[in-house]
Amino acid sequence: MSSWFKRLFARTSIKKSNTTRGLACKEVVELVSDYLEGVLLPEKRAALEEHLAGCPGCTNYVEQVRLTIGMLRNLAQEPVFPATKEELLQVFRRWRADSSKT
Amino acid sequence: MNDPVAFTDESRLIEMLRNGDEDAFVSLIERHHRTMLRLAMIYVSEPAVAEDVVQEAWLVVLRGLNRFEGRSSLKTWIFRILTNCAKTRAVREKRSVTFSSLSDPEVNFDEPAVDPERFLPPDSQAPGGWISPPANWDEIPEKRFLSQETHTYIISAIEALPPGQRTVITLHDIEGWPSEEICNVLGISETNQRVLLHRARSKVRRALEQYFDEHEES
Repeated sequence: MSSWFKRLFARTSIKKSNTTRGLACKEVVELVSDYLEGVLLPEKRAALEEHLAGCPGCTNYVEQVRLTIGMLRNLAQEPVFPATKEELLQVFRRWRADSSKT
Repeated sequence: MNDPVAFTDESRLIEMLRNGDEDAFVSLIERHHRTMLRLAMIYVSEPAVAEDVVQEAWLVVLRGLNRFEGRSSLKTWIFRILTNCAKTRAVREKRSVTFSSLSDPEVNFDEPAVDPERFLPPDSQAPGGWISPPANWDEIPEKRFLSQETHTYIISAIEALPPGQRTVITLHDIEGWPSEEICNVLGISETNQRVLLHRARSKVRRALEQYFDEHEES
């Protein structure tokens, strides 16, 4: 009876410490984008940073998202097709001719 | 064109455009045309129609130049014209369905950033903790990050996104637009913008993770 009680107690106290400690990994991943944008509320941010300090998995996750964003930033800017550019220049020249008439 | 003049001063650029300076126009095309096309594609799905819409938008921009008073930035003004042209065309082609996807449906249903299977169940010792934690990407050689294959893979991951997510991640992370401008041009709330960005990034990360994992095995 007493060992049963102890086990139950141990279990609930783990649960409790998990919730008071704040965020679970599953919740952290939903905050990463806002965190990197710097738009998290201060309390959320603090809770997240506290979690990261003790969680290598989530630290890797944040780093992965950061690297993903870095790769997106580096995507080569495709140049505008020369034919498209030429077509638009025609539009421009026509407009210029029209507006100088009026 | 070899070295486009750096038009840091917007009023000078506008002045040059009004005077019919081609270099000024070319620099504007280089800067915005691709993004305009991407944006037009949300409203009208046919690439040829999108091209048409963008060209029409450029003409409206040119014709409106003399009336442009600089109350918004030139860029915001151009993109507002573009979205108006695209919406009008979408309505004409009865494709008004697509742009509603920018706000509600994509945001309203629940879509976890990471497969829930990767986390411990609620009745476990550490509910919601990782079962299979993400790897450390610092161990991946840099040249794999920068490879053409990785590049192609990211592009296809972006193309696979729903329209709203695709647009927001393109404008925000590729083109580097501030959130405020994105909300302005797309007519969405700050919250929706953040949700769309978060979901888009999560999916691209997931696609990359899968890609790197598969390559490790081979």
